[in-house]
Amino acid sequence: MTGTRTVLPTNEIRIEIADICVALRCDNARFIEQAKKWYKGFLSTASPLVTVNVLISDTLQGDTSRGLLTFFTDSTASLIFHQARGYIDTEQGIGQLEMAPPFALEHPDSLEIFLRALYSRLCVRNNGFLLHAAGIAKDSEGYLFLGQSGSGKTTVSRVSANCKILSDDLVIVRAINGVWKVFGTPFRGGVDTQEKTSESVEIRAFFGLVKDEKVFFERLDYPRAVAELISSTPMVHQDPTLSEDVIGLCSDIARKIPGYRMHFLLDNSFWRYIDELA
Amino acid sequence: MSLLDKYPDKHPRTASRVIDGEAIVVVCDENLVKILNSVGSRIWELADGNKTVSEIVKVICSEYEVDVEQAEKDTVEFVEELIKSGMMYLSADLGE
Repeated sequence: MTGTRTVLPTNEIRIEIADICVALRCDNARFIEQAKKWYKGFLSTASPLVTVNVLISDTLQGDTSRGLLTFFTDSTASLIFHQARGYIDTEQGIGQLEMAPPFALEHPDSLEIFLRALYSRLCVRNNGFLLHAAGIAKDSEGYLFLGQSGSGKTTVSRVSANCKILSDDLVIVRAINGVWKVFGTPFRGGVDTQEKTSESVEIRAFFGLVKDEKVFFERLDYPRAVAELISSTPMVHQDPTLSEDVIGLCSDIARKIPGYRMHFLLDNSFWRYIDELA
Repeated sequence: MSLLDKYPDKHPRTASRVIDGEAIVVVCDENLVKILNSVGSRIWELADGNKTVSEIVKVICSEYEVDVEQAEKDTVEFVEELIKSGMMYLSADLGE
């Protein structure tokens, strides 16, 4: 039997999220070792769409003490955030991330901020986008529960026994051959107790979450379904061009998949109604 | 010069699409998503920097059952509101 096996250089790891691969190259062995641990389950040897040069630098230039700042042009983004700065060029397939030790070597936060920004752009170029949602697979069908922090995504995930939780906070949705799928991501939510998975499943319905005193569902008309999805997309709103593309993608998903506003109690009673809906 | 003689346009820091007659507008920087009603959506479509508010009012009067006076009042108020919320600007403002 013949076959080939890709062996990566020791200073490189590749991460694959939603079937989109990114390579990270770094001469700091400790960083590579840590990144392999943080992104266990998402490691890959596929061809990367973007290769990021990671520098662990004691002499990080400029003021990086503020929250995340991003500056966009058509295909590039520059980021400055806590003890780190980065640059992404999706057209050229290159990026650079410079981080200060020891934080960068002990915590995945800086790398994750960078990867979220990178994937928010890469996904849109590949018929997908990041979504603040709990992604739950039940009987091999995917359900999205949308909302910002505090809306109940973690609660919905926690009470969904006998279901596969793809993520309780941030998923990627992508149209592959015209079929919309939800993918788990390694990105950490507010409550980071859940094991991360790269699995995906076809989306059957999506729900905007409303905590209430009884369970009921309101079917969203087409414009409101699109708006509900757009409202839950992180990081793209700073860039009008990216936003235009995301509106187009949200329009497609809302045309094909039913969307609801789900009023729910803090238990699993909503699942009884969902099978009858979609 | 009154607002009726000015040329409103969509702010470049917005993204939008009209779906089933309703405009969905993303206001970048503000992180806002707005849905405009039917008449508002039509005004949004017409506001392209090449028509004055008066010209937009004429189109609205021809398409909806509304008298000119009321249409002028409502359109001016609407355009002012959208300018205030960062969704529109008066195209002459760019050069000022």
